[in-house]
Amino acid sequence: MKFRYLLQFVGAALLIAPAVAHHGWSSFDQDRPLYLGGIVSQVKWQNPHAEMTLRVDVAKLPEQFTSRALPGQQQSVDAAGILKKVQVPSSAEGAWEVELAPLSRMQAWGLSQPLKVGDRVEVIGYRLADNNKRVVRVEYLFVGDKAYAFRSAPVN
Amino acid sequence: MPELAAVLAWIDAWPIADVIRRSVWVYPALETIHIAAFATVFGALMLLELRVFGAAPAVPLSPLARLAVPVALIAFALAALAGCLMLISNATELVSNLAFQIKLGLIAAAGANALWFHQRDSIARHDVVAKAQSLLSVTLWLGVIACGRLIAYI
Repeated sequence: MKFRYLLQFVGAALLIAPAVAHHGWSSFDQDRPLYLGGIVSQVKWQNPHAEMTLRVDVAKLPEQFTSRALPGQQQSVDAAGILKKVQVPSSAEGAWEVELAPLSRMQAWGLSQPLKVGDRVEVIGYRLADNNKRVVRVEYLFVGDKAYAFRSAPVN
Repeated sequence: MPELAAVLAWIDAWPIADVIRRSVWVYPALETIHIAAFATVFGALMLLELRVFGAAPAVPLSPLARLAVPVALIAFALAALAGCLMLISNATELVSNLAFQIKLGLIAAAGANALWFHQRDSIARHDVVAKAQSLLSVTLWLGVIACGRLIAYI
């Protein structure tokens, strides 16, 4: 029975199945950094990159947000420019898919343990250019008083 | 196609799929094996096909094929094994990826072309059809490489 399913699987893999999932980094709108704050509701701590679902419950930028300190990283990123441009998307509240980094990169930032369902986190990220989908890839992640920058490895 | 979704979800739940996903270094190791093995496939076929086109006429074609074909086959098996292990770790997502679907189709076409090449003894004949098959082979395998890379970009 299972074997028949496997055959179907191989057969069907050659057909056009509905596209559901992931996208290359270039499909995200890097000109518009977005702020999302909320509670982690699902976590997939896996390669090729970790992902989480964030239940967003913050409708406007927190006070003093643009003066937050961002961590140093190997690649030079215009952190101040990103902070200046960051905005909360319209109708932000609700579930968002958040794409993080490969596990080795998460580990390099000291995140070798998965985030947990119920954790409160904030992200600065870029939305998938297809605006119908609530998917962002992360530029910065804030957990408690810690900030992480997944574009590259941390500066030691 | 609800059965397909169920099969993919079933595969995603295999313990080995979980090991591949959750280990920090297994996935990049599989990527390395996949690409090294496929570089061997493509390199071996490229030499054979250049010879079919007339490069290095001093090299006898038939003995070259006796080296290049088994090397390509064994390396393909290794690339496919590493590829399948990556596939089962993200089955639902990969199968829905258009680049992956086209890649599988191109591999099937390249395989059929190779079978045809050997079935009609193109090495011995070394005629215009053999050259056309070689050109088709290189084109299809280049397409496979492009689609393989594009999986991460669409």
